[in-house]
Amino acid sequence: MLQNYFVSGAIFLITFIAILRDRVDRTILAMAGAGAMLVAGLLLGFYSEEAALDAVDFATLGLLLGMMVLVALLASTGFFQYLAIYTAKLSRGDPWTLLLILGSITTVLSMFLDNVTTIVLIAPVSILIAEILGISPVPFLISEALLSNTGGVATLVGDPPNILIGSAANFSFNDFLVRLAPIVLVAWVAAVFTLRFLFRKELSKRPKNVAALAHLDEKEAIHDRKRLIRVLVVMAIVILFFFLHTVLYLAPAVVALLGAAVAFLWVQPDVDHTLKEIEWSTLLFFAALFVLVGGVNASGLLNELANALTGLTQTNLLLSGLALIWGAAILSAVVDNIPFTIVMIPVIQSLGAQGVDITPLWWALALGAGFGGNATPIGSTANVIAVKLSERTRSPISTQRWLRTGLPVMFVTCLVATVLYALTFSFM
Amino acid sequence: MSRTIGSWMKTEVVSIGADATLLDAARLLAQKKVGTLPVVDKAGHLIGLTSMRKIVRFFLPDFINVVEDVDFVLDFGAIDIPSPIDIKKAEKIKISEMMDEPESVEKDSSLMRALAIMVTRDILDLPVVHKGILVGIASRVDIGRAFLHSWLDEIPKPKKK
Repeated sequence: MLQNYFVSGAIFLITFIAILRDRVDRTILAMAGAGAMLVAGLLLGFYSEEAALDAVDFATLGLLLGMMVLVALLASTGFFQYLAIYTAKLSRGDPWTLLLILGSITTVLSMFLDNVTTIVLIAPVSILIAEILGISPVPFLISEALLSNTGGVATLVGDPPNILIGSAANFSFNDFLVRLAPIVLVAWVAAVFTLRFLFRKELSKRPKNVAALAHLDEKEAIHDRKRLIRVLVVMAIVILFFFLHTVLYLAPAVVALLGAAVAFLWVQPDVDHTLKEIEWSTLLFFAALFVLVGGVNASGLLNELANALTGLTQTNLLLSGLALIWGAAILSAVVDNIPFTIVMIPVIQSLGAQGVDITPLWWALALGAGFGGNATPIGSTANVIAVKLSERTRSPISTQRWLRTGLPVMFVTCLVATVLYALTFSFM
Repeated sequence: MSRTIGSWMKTEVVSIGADATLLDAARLLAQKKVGTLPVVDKAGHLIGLTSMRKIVRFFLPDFINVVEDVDFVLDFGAIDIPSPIDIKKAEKIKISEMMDEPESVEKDSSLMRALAIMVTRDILDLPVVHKGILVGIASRVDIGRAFLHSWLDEIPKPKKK
């Protein structure tokens, strides 16, 4: 028993620390860790092939894959550029209005689409607009990543931790909207004003070339109008079906994959080309982490951990929830929030098996993991992308630069989450 | 004519030293009508290649590197005029930081080899060396013409009666 705890715990910790050090690609590390876990489990008898396959949450993978296909089909139409330019023009060149508009667009998109794609498509146009206006693109890049992380917490499909939690706890799209969206809305507004304060110097500059912004022609950005309309129609129906979950009882993964199938059939794109746009490395990373954490779970170690926490949780559930928000936030800041969420899920489930009311804990986990990702450049994938994009410009974003904005925003959003979580606790 | 690259190349080569700056290269490219600048050391050995393409890219705005197309940008606004900061920076960047692998062929290589290297490496001007020393350069048009010339020569002439 103790030997199994030790071996599975050690394999897990080594993998986790290696992912944290970020010297080798995280997908490679997760696959190596999963392989080591399975081999050790088979040798020591605590893990089997069937158990490893069972540990993979295909609902999460299916939902991610379905949404990725839809986004890949939409990305090449020029829709995102169109949207960014069209709305940016409404700012008439005022930097603060521009930040608010681009930030809002990113937030709304990332509530329904994967944050990474949203940033990959909106941030380059933002760099372009900032350069044409003659202002620094840095506030825009950082704000867009932070606001997309924050906004993503509001919905089931907004960010990967939510997809994982929704699948594990069997929460519907509407559950997320009712419980989390109000908290996220307040946190988002707080984040926007924190950003306004932190970037007050950059945003006070009046750009000289406002006319150039008016000369951007958003219609030229659209490459494939027919496809654009078709994919948007399918996406609207998919989102509608997410809302109708309580009536139709179709799992989000099924809805997303059906949507992908319909979109494929209707658009008939070059399939190989479209599938190249899918983030297979992310899907593989998820699958490998499921197998890795499944091993720790099968060894009984996570159950022991849950046992240790049970007494504490039962004495004060509210305090446990708050501790989870901050603990999740701090850990998600230093390590990708996806592996952290995948570990926490079996722990919370074991707590549930011992009679603890775990529903509030799921929400705490979602809030902490989501907002915590804001603090550091590696906290979320959206941050990583924003920093990578900035490195291809003359104003690369350093870690210190990020922390100066990310930490205060994380702190403010978590503070809002703490207060509202405590206030609405009885409804959770 | 011979089928070696040596007999078809241009022997007057505009080249630049490795310790020259990006600004020096920009000046040279602005004066001479060439697209490729072979980079040579003091002894005349070819050590790299830089080009008009690479040098002008430095003066392009950053977003060119991150957006897929610029069809919708009708007015480049603040960046339409070269920034003094860029010119200052161009003085500090050494050409050795802005060069590619020194693709080249030996003087006695065949035209076919020169053409094949040019097409597979997608380069516009091919430096010609002899024992590592830069001795000439042949453009895509030079080599293409020479190659087609020799090829057309092989067509049997109609016999006169």
